[in-house]
Amino acid sequence: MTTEAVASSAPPGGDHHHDSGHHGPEFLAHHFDTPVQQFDAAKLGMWLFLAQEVLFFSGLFVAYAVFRNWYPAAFSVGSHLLDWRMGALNTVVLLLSSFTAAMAVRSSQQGNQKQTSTYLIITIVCAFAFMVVKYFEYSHKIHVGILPGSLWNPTAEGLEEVKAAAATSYVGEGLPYHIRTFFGIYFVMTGLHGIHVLVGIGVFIWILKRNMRGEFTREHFTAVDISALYWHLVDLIWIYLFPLLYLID
Amino acid sequence: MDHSSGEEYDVHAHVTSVRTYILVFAALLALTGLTVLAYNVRLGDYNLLVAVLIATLKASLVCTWFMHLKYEKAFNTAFFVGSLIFVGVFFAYTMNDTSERTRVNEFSGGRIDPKTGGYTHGTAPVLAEQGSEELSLEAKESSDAAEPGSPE
Amino acid sequence: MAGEHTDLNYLNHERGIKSWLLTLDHKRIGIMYLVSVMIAFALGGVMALLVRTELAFKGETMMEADTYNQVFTLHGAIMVFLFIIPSVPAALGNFFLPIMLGAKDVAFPKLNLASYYIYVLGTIFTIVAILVGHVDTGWTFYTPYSARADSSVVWMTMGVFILGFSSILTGVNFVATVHKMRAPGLVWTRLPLFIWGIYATAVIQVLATPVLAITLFLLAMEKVLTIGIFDPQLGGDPVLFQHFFWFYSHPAVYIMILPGMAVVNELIATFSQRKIFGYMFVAMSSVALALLGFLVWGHHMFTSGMSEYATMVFSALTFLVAIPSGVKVFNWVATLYQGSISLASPMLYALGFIALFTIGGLTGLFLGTLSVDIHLHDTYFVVAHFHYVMVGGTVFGFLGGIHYWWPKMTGRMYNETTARWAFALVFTGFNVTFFSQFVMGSQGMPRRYYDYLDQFQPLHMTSSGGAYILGVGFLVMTVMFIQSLRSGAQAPANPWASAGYEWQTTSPPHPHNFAVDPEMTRGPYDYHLCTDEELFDGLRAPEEPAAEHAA
Repeated sequence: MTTEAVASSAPPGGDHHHDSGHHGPEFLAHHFDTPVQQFDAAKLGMWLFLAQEVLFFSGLFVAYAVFRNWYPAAFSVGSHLLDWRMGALNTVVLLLSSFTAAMAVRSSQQGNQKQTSTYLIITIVCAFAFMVVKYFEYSHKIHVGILPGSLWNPTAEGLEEVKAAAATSYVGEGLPYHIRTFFGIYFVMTGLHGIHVLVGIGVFIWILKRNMRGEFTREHFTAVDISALYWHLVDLIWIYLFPLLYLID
Repeated sequence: MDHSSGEEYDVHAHVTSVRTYILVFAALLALTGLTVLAYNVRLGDYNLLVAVLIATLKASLVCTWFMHLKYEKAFNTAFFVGSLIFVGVFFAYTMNDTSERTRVNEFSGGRIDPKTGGYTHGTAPVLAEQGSEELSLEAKESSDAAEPGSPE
Repeated sequence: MAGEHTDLNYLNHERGIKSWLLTLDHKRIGIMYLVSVMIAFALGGVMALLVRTELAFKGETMMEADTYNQVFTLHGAIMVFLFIIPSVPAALGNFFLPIMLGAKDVAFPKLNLASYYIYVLGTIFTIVAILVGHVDTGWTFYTPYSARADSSVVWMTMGVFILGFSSILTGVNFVATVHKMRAPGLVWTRLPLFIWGIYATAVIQVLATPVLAITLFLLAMEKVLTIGIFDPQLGGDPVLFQHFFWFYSHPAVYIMILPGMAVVNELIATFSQRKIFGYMFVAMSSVALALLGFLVWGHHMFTSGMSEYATMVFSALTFLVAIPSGVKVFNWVATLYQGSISLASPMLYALGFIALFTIGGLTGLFLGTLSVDIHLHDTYFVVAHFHYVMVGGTVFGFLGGIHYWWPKMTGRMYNETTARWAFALVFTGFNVTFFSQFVMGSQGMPRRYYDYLDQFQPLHMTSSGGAYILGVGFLVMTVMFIQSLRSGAQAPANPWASAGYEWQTTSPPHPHNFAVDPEMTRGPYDYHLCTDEELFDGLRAPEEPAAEHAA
């Protein structure tokens, strides 16, 4: 990567004022020389941001590893308290939305405004569906009092569920003391992921609006591209969360 | 500004075929099925390994095709994948502490569980056994174990 | 700078408060950061003086132990999160990174302005925490105490969480800028070493700061939802918090020191009028420090009950940090050798940096040694060590940078004699304050106590006296800079006869940095390739026709 700085052969005696819009297409910001430079910078910026996201979530995964290593029984019983069918459904929903997000970028790259909108709408709907499923999971847990830390206060129904979960897990019977730690980690991990999904919904609604206004063209689809990158990262996190939380023996 | 140099002027991003996207999506669904299958087969100790391997396979599919890492600039790929090295350092060093605390000095960072005789972590069960604090779990745990199904 | 361009600069092309608050110009954002961090520095400095005043005499001098705990916490938190971390990168880096790259702006100007306002928001949260409560956890927020302490800790951690995002976005912006915005001819091997340092810093900001964010988020969740990750009573592990915290905060030490070193590179080269010795080694040592910084965080935790295996690994790796640090110091000294040295005030700070950083760095090796650390952990030795690195290092680099670039940023010169007096006061005051703390620490004086045994009375008194000398030094400096703004002489474009790229534009710079798009044909330290016009451009009469100043 020695010289990607683009030669900006400014004509001698040329414009010295660099007011925006004096060069190139309208979407080209004044401090860039070419659309390629602008596009590449945006992509690099987004990848740096995604790396940041990876490190952000890494803390949760490290905490998960430490406590799963310390309290395997709690994690097993806790995992059996989660409904893997719900998790699997959400996985499929999120994978579908990731697929449509990728297709939206593709349509945008080809300048197909209508198709882009369609794919964006499907993506948004899937994201909402994900949150609805999450809502049902959360509200049930809250209802039966299966909550983290000192909030742990299971109702009779909740205790029944705990017993059933223990019976299907390798633990067999009894209630591992540190199950509350499992639910601490469960709620924080899925909660932060859920916040990212909500942010994604907001971003895609914004992108959809801009697309409907016809802001994106074959030459200028950067915003669609980098929003989709963010969305794929949200998908990536879930790809790990699903087996690590729902599918423990 | 000279606009004649089309190479630098037009944004050329790779356009992947619909067929590829559908294939990748199908593969992702299949792997999701596989990971659920692996869970229901009860692999025991291998559960974690298999789950993480399948998840990593899925993640690399998403990265390579959906996120276009295959066609991405080398530095972008390197930085993103490289960030995993830092996650690895974080993970390995922390585990090197938390899983080894009692190895050299048994009084360092661990305690002996009176029930099993082995080393264990956390002070919570001790506090519960001493009956201190408002840890209501102990009561529920015993009622759960002793009188199964008893109402709250 | 011929003709009408002399008049047009970033300060006068737009006027009014709105043109500042909504500006996308990196130079104006840099100035806004500079003002903000200086206010934070003053506030943190007042806290420091309060701490030292309390400690000047045995027993209760002017505040209760409980108040003392809050004051040292605020001193640490303000200095670290509001001052040192954004000081060089966000203030000087914002101003000079694009100029040194020959770019018109950073890659994402809107994001840059957003970072600034996120910083302001974080500051507001921090101030709320100070006003509503009672933050006395120390700047490290260690659990389990922080999880039990006053609820204003949540405000404080949220403030730092938000400040972290400001730092991350600045990092993202700078990495993208260095990669994509370089002027034609500015290949990586010609990059000014200031840029290399800021670049390495930006990489750490992107990769480490998110871990601080998640740590503080988990701490807030611990307090609000009692998730039990750090609370031993719920099965959590307080030492895990330390791992999380130092995974960020050790690399953060390099976020603090690398930019200081980056400034010193420029100072040493300019005031020796010499190509920096071993350019590539110095550049790569910044990158090496950035990466090694991620491998040694456990040396803050030797006495925490961490596994013995982990302590051994962390101790061994800690010594590796000495290698790139040594490379830098040796290369600076080698650059001075046979250079044409001028002892202008910025250079005094650079030389001060080398001396004090060497002391700070070498005492770091004592602390990295397992057995010695058992004795010195949490004593004044540690306090003295990191003040030698953070103040003797970063703050001296920052002050040197401000003196060096002041003419470029403001278009005004300052009174050199006053500047040297201020340096003398700061240098003396600093050493009196903190050298005595090395002695106290090795005799066992623990940190964070508001009272002490009789035997420490003389040294504490000395240390407090030094702090006041330091304070007077800063006061003199402030007066000098204000005087410069009011009545300083017009600064020429290149008052130090530097070959650096940023000196090839007007003082203050054109709104788009260079009136003509620059193209780099030589390195920033190639004094042997410079024409007289480039080096002495600014000292000549304004009517004399200047050549294309773009190198």
